[in-house]
Amino acid sequence: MLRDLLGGWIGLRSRWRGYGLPIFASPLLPAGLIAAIGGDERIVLGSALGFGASLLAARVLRRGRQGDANRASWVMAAGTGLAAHFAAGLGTVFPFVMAGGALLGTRLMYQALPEAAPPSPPPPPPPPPGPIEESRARLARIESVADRIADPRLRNVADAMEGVLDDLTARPDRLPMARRFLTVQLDGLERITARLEAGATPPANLPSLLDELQRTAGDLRQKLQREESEALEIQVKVLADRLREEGY
Amino acid sequence: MDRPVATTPNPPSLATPLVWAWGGLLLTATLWLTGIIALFNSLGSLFH
Repeated sequence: MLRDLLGGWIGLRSRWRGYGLPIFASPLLPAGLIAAIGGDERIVLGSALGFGASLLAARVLRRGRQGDANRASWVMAAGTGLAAHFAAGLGTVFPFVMAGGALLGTRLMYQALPEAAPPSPPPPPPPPPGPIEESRARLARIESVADRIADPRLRNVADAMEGVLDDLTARPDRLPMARRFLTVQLDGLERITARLEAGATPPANLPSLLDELQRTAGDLRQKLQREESEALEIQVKVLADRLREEGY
Repeated sequence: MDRPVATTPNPPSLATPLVWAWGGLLLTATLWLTGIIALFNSLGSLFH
């Protein structure tokens, strides 16, 4: 019974949390107003800081996130200390006592009220597609056009280039070697495909150019494979020398 | 909208309202009293 009553009370206080703080600071409002009429800027400043801090603390408390009661307590402490120093003219040491009291008081006032977990950070945006993925997407477009216009040569070039991309996917560290190939040849093939798709009549030397592109792609694959073989040969030689030196 | 979750797994103590009252009393003795002193100071500034 008592627990239910307390639960209801906590629920009510959670709904209205923070609104009580400006009420505690409310005497600062007429103080600031009267001091403004009397021309005492120090009191006006202290009152504005004290009341403003109570509004800010209330705003922080209204969010109801984890740790907000603690943050609001510090804001209240700062506001009370400043108001005690400037508006109430309590000197230098006593405002710290007031600030400490306000800090503890706010903490006690908002104890046991539920606080929401902080919102999870937004998921990081997906990484931009790498050069291989981008080239693969461009090749897919070329292949679909080649199928549509039924051009076997164009299709063969696209397949050959896809083979290069497969090799690069397996060994991405070889990408700098093929960057020029990806930018120049793929770009050229893309332009040719776009013209053919638009209905252009193929010139007489197009088949030979496509054959050349297909051959170049094959050459590049062979070059990549040769480099791999050379690297393997060096590894084998180094390991063999090492074993010999170690006396195994 | 964040779903409120209890900060402590244990149910709050029945003495919690007393703790709140102490907090309110402390705030009255500090912030409210500061305001009242400031109010008297400001009234005094009218006569200077």
